[in-house]
Amino acid sequence: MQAYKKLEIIIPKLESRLLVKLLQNNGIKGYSYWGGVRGSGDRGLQDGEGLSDTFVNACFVIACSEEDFNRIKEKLRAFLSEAGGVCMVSDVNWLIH
Amino acid sequence: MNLEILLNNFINPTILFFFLGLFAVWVRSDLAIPSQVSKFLSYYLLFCIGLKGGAELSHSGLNAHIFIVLAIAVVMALLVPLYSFFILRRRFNLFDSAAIAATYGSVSAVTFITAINFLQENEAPFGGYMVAAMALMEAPAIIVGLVLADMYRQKEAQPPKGEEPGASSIRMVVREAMANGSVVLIMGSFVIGIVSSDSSVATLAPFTQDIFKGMLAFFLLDMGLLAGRRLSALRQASGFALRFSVLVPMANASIAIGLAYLLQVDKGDALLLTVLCASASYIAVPAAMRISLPKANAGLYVPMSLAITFPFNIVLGIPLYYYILNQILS
Repeated sequence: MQAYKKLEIIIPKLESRLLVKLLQNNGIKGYSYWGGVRGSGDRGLQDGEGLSDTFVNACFVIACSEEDFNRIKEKLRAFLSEAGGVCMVSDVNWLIH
Repeated sequence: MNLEILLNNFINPTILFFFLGLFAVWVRSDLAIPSQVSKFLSYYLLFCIGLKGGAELSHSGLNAHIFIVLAIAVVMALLVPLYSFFILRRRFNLFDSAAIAATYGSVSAVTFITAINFLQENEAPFGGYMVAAMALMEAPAIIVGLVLADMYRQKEAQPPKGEEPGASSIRMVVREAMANGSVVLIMGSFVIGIVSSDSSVATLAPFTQDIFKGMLAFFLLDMGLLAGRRLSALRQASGFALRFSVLVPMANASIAIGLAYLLQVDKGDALLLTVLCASASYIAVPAAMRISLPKANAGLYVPMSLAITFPFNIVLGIPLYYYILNQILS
């Protein structure tokens, strides 16, 4: 087992490509992703309705080392402040295989 | 106004299905159309209109008149967001003003398709090149909206977005808007319609013509459901936003009608040009604005265009503009 940080990031789906770029530019290559996430937050209801992805969120789950997390933390904060969204961080253990 | 045109439009099944969608939301029915079906229907309509427009253009060919109409379309797409922005700045913040201005400067493909259906039912001819006019009007408004937002952001000493992570350049946003599935499909079908032979286009008629009206009616049912759901978001909107959603499209239509009169544009083409100028985007522009101006309130500019301007145009606007054009154009 190895200590890791787990990031759960929910952002507007249309911003997904920019988030992936941000992660990759900062050395985080792996992520899992769900499109079509619905919910409500300080930018209103994201009900998934409509012909574009304007009202749909996406959820990213990322496991990274503390060092990687510290490197990206402030950039992620600025990204979320602009694009909207949330990032939840937890300490997890990674099963080495 | 000739009440017959208005009444005929009002009792047209296509429009009535739109009202059925609104009614279903009002009575809280569980009627819902899966989003993938909605997407298919919108793509189907764009496919048909693009193909038909291209096929018709291959017959009529290009001439100076067509270029003039296309030029008017682009000029209007640049002008409408410009003056809309300054009207909106009186009441809204910078981001909302820019996003609403871009929304109203751009066009609604569904309103355009409904206007084509209206012309067909009134046996009024129109040029296939108007499809190109629609595609040309999609992007300029987005550029104007973003440039204005950037200019005023600097003026108001807000940090320029380009320096923040997650920022997206105007070039990227315009690229996204032009690569939007709707734009690619309608322009692609348009080009295919131009290069295909008449006989090969005719073989697609059972799909592109025979079921077109039924599909449009079903799609408008879905649009009624969507508009109905978005209406509730307007409860908190100001009276100014509601007035803007009706009066500015009417002003845009008046300018387009004036230009069509001055340049003696054919009646059918003039109606389509007027409808393009009077309509507001709720597919491509909101997606572009969501990326470029994420702080703008999508819960405001989408309902304004989808729940107010769109129904106004398809129910009252189209027959009203047609009536006026009938009076002034020979």
